Amino acid sequence: MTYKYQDEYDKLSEMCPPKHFTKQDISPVYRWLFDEDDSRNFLPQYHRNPRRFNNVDDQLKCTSMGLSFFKDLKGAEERHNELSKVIPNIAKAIGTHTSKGFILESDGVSGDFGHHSHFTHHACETDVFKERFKIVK
Amino acid sequence: MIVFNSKPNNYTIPLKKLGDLIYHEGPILSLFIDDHSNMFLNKWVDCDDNTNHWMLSSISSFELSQFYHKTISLRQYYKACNQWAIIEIDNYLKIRKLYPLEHIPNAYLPKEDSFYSDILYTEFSNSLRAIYINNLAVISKHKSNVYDILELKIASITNSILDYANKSSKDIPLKETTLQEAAKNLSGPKTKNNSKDILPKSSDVLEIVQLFRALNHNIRKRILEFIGSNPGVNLTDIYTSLKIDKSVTAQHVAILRRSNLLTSHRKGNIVLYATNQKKLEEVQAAIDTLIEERKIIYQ
Repeated sequence: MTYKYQDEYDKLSEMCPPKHFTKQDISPVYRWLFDEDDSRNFLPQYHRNPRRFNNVDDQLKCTSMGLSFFKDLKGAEERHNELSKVIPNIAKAIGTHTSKGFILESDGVSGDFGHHSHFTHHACETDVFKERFKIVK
Repeated sequence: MIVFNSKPNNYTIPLKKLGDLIYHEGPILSLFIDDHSNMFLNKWVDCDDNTNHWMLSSISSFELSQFYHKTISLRQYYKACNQWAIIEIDNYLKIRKLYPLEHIPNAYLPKEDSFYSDILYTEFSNSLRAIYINNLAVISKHKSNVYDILELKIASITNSILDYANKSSKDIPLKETTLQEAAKNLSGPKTKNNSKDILPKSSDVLEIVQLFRALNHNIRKRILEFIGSNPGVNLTDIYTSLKIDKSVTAQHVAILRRSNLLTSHRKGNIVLYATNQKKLEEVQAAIDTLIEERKIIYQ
């Protein structure tokens, strides 16, 4: 499987995506987006301008080249609320709306579900998500 | 984004990153340490199309402990904090601009209920919290002046001298220390009145944090126990016996090796593992020392 940012993954000292990431059909999934058609919507943090980094190691660089999704709506909303408590401006960095869509096995590999049902996905191609994800809130 | 009158600079913050406390697609709240073991929080606060704003603030171990014990919220810490600066940094901690302000803008302050939450903060933060909750860290109210850090560096650049370097040279030269020695440093003097505790060197803190992180994981504990009972096993033995995925096992073994908790030697194409008894004994002794020193301090 070749990933969208394969060339950059190859330069990292850590295996990226991590070995335990797997191909999965996941539906529904939720992701925070900016307005419809915003170019940042499916751009990993590492490729956004400005990058939000402070001296990351290669493992974190890898994570930051993945996309964040949530398995359930409640988890997505709760995490957004929790982050907003610490950083009132957080929506400017991570998105202002919640969108709903799905991920197919052929899209890439996903990590384990963590707190708030959050997981990271490393995609082969991100353009497909633009059509699949619709803002729900 | 709030527009400030900026003070342009171009130098690297002389701080070492201990870890991220909150991370979401990038660092949001990180903990840094200087050469004198003063701690600093670096919180992302705002951005526009071209720049990020961060708030660098000094935090004492006493304040960090209060936050980890949920005695104060992050908002309360910042409201009481008088050692902070708004900065623009690039990806390598190079400061582009520094904004000297009198008050933290309201938009940059956390909300009232910004108390510690296990599920929001990172594994690193939860490990560090365990150290504070279990009274394994020195509690001191001492903290550094953020502007000392920032301004001293400016002075050292413009004059090519080295106020900062001179101060650093007064430090104890770095040397190999055992964990038990590091633990003694962490515990500070054996007095009740230890408000002027000498904090440990950053290298000690880093090593201890790294060790606690390595030990604070159920799978790694199982792996350590298994190898301890079966010295000389290889990776296949470990993942088949413990019924853990091979790649997951390999990652956890790598973490244990990096922390020197495991030793390895190669036999042909196979790597055989054993526990590093000396390091484990040091860890045990360090914990015992910390507990003992705490008892003396609180008696």
